[in-house]
Amino acid sequence: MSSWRSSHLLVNFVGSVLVGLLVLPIVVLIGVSFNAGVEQVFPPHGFSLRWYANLANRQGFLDAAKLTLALALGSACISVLVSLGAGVAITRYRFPGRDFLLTLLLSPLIVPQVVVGMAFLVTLSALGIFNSIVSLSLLHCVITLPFALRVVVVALQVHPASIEEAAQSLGASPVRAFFGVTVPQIAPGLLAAGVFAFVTSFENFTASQFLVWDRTTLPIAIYTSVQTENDPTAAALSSLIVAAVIVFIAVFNRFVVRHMLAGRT
Amino acid sequence: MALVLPALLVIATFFAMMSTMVVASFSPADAVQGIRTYTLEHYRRFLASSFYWGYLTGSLWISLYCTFITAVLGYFIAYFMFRSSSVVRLVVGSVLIVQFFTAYVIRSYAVMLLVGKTGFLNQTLLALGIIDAPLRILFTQAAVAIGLVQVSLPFMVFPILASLNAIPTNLEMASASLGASRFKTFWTIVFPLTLPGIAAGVVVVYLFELTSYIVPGMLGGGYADMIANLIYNKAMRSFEYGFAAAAAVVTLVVSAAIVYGLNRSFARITRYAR
Amino acid sequence: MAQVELKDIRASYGGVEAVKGVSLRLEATELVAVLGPSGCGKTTLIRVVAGFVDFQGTLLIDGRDMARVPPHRRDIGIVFQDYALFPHQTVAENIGYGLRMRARPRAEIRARVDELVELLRLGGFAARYPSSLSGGQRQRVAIARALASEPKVLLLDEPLSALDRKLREEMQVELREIQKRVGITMLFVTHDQEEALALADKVVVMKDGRVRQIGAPIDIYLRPEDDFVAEFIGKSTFFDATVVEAAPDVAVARLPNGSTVRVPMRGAVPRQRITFAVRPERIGVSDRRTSREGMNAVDAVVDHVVFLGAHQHVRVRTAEAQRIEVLASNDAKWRQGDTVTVEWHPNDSVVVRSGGVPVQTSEYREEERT
Ligand SMILES: Nc1ncnc2c1ncn2[C@@H]1O[C@H](COP(=O)(O)OP(=O)(O)OP(=O)(O)O)[C@@H](O)[C@H]1O
Ligand SMILES: [Mg+2]
Repeated sequence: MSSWRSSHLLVNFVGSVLVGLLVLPIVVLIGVSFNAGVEQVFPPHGFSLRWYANLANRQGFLDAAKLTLALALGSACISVLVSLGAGVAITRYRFPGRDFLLTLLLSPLIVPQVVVGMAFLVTLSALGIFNSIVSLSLLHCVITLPFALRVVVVALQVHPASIEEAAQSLGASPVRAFFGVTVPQIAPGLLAAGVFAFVTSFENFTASQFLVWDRTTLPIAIYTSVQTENDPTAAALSSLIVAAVIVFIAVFNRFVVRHMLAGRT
Repeated sequence: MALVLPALLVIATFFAMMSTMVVASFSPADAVQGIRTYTLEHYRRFLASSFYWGYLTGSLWISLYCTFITAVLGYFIAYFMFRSSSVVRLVVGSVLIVQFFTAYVIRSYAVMLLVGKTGFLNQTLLALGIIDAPLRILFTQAAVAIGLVQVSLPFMVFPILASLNAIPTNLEMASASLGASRFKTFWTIVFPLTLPGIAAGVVVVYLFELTSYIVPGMLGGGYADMIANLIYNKAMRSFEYGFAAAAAVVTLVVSAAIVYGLNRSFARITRYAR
Repeated sequence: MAQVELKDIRASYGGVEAVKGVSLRLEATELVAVLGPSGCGKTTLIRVVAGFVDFQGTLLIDGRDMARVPPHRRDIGIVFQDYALFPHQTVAENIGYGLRMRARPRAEIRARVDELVELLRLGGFAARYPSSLSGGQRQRVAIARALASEPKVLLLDEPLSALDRKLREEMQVELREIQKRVGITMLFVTHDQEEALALADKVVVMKDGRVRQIGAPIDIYLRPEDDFVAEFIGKSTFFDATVVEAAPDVAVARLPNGSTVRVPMRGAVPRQRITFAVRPERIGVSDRRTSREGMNAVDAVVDHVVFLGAHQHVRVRTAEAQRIEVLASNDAKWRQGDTVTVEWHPNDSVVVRSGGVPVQTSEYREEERT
């Protein structure tokens, strides 16, 4: 509003440098993916899309991508539905142990991923289940639920029950009042919950790596490829994912960016 | 209460698996099928050997100083955003959100390309004549530290930004009208009021860094493994489930204690609000 | 204890002008109230004086140009509408903040804080945090904090608007007393006209970033210079009329319904169209013409009655659909539909517009008032 509150030059300078350093690795990554040769250097030597073309030959990446997307979509949908049920129970009904229940349902958030992975490994191998699709589905539902639930509960708390009650007093059945009045209102919240769940599943590495017996996920495939190969194919794939994230954020900007800039993570 | 049932089912699965792991951590390595016996051998082995124990203390130490660095840099970025025009704020915010939503494995890989022997950093320093030979950063603890800070910065910036946004402009005006220079206003009003945000960021970041796997795995290259790498290697390379489970239980207990302790001491900061 | 002078001050937010050329003068130890509807630029004016908004024009405090003086060197106290107490500091720490920033010795700070705690009746709260205080207590802490380092000028931005009516009235009395005791120059912003009229030595009425009238409360109230001021200060009724006879100090004018009224007016010309205002409490209602000598009277029908405790608010309507607002005593009971006569003394009417243009500009004419 005035020169009084505008920031100090030092703050601007250091801030810009830090933000620059923060994006630098991603810029390098994208640059590397356009190398003409096999070296992973930045600035790229020459310009080519050959490493992107090369992705088509990598059946492993394609399979991993399919599985990862399926897991992320599936676990996001399930988590949002399950959270909606639990969220409604917790925010709309009073019963003893309500706060405790919420704490319990959110408790996986503070359990380190490596511990979660270890627990799944021990249990599933004891049960003789060595099917990655089954185990990963189970794992991803468990780890995405608390992320979704946290967002859904906040959305439901922001929209108080009084609106539903008003609708009911006008003759709507409780179920109709909920789906007709509340669900449309918290739709942005549900979408945000789905986005968080999706991303949590999509990028999960540490817990998932304990369960990749016969199939693998994209982050793990990238990790393995970085460890074992020395060309920019992984950089090309990673750059594609970064581009997808950018598009995704541009599309969901309204729900996610504002939400996060307002400080509600 | 049919509504909560699915959620309860999911959480019950989770706790069942956690208990199986705890049971496994007390089961002898050479257990015979069908016979239940309990032993402390895995815990004894983990806690008695400074080699294994060192993974935990090493992880505690590196994540401690990395959390500190993350907090300082994160504060700078958040404060810069807070003081900037809405356009700058949106641009920097978008950068952070892209980071936030990009898988850690990709961000670690990107840092790897930056600090590698022929990476951009070394090439720039060589070209500028600052160094004569490439620095060995990749596969050292320094690379791990850089990666941890880089990857966890968004977790720090958002809560701090939220606490800055929550400070009414009137408080700064009041402070200035009472004779405080800009720096004094920052130090006596703004900074103390953002301590809750810093605390929230510190808890998340410390827990995240303490138990990270990808960053030490990729940027440490086996030379700077942390506790999560130990657990994974024991379980998946040498199939010592009992030992890995014990290490996981110890890690869980330690991190839970840290979260509890930090939350307790940070709760004191905001006593004034009650 | 300083004199403040604003000359043609303009301030804008990103191209939108919020203050559009305000000139104003506060004498030392004067309490000036700025009164105006929401969004008229009152807060912006306060921010200009305090140094938080860039402006054009001249701002002088004790004759010194403030353009290049940063807020923290201006020696100005501010009391905000929402108090703006530092939540992480106790009452005593809040009050002592200004002195600490000036690095005064501890003993001095403690003595001054004690003195202010005493002055503002905050005994027993010194060690508490603001979150545990009531609205009135917070308000007093805010005032104490602003006074602690003995600023030259105290700016108050709607300081009482968050309080309930009773507390607000108590605090008004208290503020006035403090101002007298401390003898400080105060600029007081409010949208509550009663508050402004009750407290101020001088009232400034603003609208849309401009000053419409400056004057003593009694003048603002009884002699509004234009229709906005008349309308804003109390619920006046406006009558359109045409002058039929002009005497040096008074004019006889004809209302649309044909009845004639006498209006105090200088230099009127026959056939001139005028608008005059009459305050609701100056109008009487009766069921027949009292034919008191010299009163103006109009016939009307009761439209609406609201009981207000000691008074009643009666709205009547003439045959020509002119509405007249009356604040009447409770002696008589009026009902909707009653046929009545309303009366007022000619000296209680004020001409706010003549010949289609405002009578006066918004400039304050000191000479004429005194
Ligand atoms: N920070 C700002 N940015 C942009 N416009 C502003 C800002 N602050 C105020 N304005 C605009 O400037 C005009 C004057 O605002 P100001 O706050 O001075 O009014 P006010 O008289 O104090 O109103 P109120 O009685 O509601 O407090 C308004 O139109 C308002 O919308
Ligand atoms: Mg205001």
